[in-house]
Amino acid sequence: MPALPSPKPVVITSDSVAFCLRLSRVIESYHNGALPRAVSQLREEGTDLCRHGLVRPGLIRLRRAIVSLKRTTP
Amino acid sequence: MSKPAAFAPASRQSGLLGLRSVSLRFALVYGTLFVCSAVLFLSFIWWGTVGLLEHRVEQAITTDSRALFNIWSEGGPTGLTMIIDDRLEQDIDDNALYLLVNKDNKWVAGNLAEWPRQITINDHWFTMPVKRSYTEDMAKVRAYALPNGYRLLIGRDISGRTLLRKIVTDTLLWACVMVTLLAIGGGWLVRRLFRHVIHSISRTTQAITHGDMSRRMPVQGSDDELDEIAITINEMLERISRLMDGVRQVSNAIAHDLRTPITRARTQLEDAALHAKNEDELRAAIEQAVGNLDNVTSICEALLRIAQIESGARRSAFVLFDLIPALQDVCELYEAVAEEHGLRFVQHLPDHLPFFGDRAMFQQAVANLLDNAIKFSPPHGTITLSAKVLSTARRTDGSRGKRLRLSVTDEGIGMSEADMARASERFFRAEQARNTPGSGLGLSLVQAIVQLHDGKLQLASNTPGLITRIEIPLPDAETVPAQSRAAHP
Repeated sequence: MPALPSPKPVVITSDSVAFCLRLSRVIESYHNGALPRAVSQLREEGTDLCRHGLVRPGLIRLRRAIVSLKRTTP
Repeated sequence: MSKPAAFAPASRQSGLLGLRSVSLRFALVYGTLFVCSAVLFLSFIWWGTVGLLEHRVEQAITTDSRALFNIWSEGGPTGLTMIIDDRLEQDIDDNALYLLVNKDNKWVAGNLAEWPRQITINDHWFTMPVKRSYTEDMAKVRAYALPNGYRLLIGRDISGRTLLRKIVTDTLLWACVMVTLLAIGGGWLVRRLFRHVIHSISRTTQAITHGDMSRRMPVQGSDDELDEIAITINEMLERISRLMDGVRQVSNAIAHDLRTPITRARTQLEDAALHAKNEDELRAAIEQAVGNLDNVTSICEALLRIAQIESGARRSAFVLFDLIPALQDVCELYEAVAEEHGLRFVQHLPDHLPFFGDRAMFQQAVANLLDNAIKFSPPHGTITLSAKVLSTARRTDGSRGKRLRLSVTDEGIGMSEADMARASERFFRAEQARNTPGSGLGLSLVQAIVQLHDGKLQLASNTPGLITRIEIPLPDAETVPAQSRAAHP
């Protein structure tokens, strides 16, 4: 494996509040009608956690909500 | 003097290293083997865990790249962008890294802010640092070239795996340290144990070399191999002691038993030389002296015969023969002698009894037993010779075979238990037999002959009298050498 000439880290953009809000919007726009209760709850929890600075737990909940939506929606 | 002085430094040097010590070498070999085996085992565990994790990451990225290539060929940059967004939205593990850039190195899709400067080669694995909100992690990535100058970077955040790898590596390194310490401790124990055993043997053998035959190896009672060695050495020493005692006794007995007839012969000749009045008296004295010297010769012959039999050289004369006619020949001779002594001689013999051995020697053994029985029986007593075949002998290989039991029973003076135990010793004569003629070699000769035939000689009380029993394994057809069967069908 080649050695890296510079150790400067590359920023992961998905690990941010902005990406959280993006996921929240994706969930919101995904379903025309009302969201299933579990999905809605996950979305709310995830958005809250991101707003309070807990980005990774928030992202996990939002992603679970999306996965759940994809599984239930034809 | 100069030569040893020249060699002294080298010898001292190797002594200092301790490598001349067998126990240290043994301990070093033990320790090295222990550490090598443990390191090999732990390395296997390391490659089995850490190597597996690495392999799984690489496999996931490779699989992912194939799927994304298919998407590119179907939907181009737009389709790939959508799929990358889709994957990032559903990445519950939160470890996926994607970056799609165009020919101008501009960001098109993905979750990395820019193309890492250090990744200039495609289709190679790289490990690089990535920055999250609050932490800095490590990621494993691989770059792929796409048509129209596009480039795709696929990777995985391996911080969790890196942590696990560190834990496993640290654990295994500590295990190595512990194993090395255990090996050193074990080596020290092995060396101590080995030295203890060697020193114990050395001390005992040195004491024996200096003439202390009473010293024995200490037996711990743990019933292990060391105890086995100690018991074997002690048994060997016991046997050597017994043999030395035997040699000493035999030497004394030879000196005593030979001195008496020689002194007697000398006295007779001296007396005749000084006091014989005529030729007849002189002749009578010479005849008596010759008789005494014949007795000396017969003792020497008997001793030589026993020595020859005990050496096992006579086994070459073994043949297969019918024992009954051989026994009958001996009986015929001793029947007459028994009759002379007013004794009844009874025989219980089967019609045939195939036997593998030395015919003349076995006849000599039976003759000695009958001779003893006649010598020690009172008038009108009965002497019985019986032979029967038993089929319960267990051989060394566990199989059962036949054996001959030959008994000579008399109603004579018998023997005490203590005398029976010593009866086969050379020159041994029981107290009540001191006045009976004989050299004390008859039963020794019988014992030697019986042992040569792999048999046992036993004495038992007949109240009154003595039972002398010989038990000898009888041959199977397959155990008898072919030439012996051919010569004596």
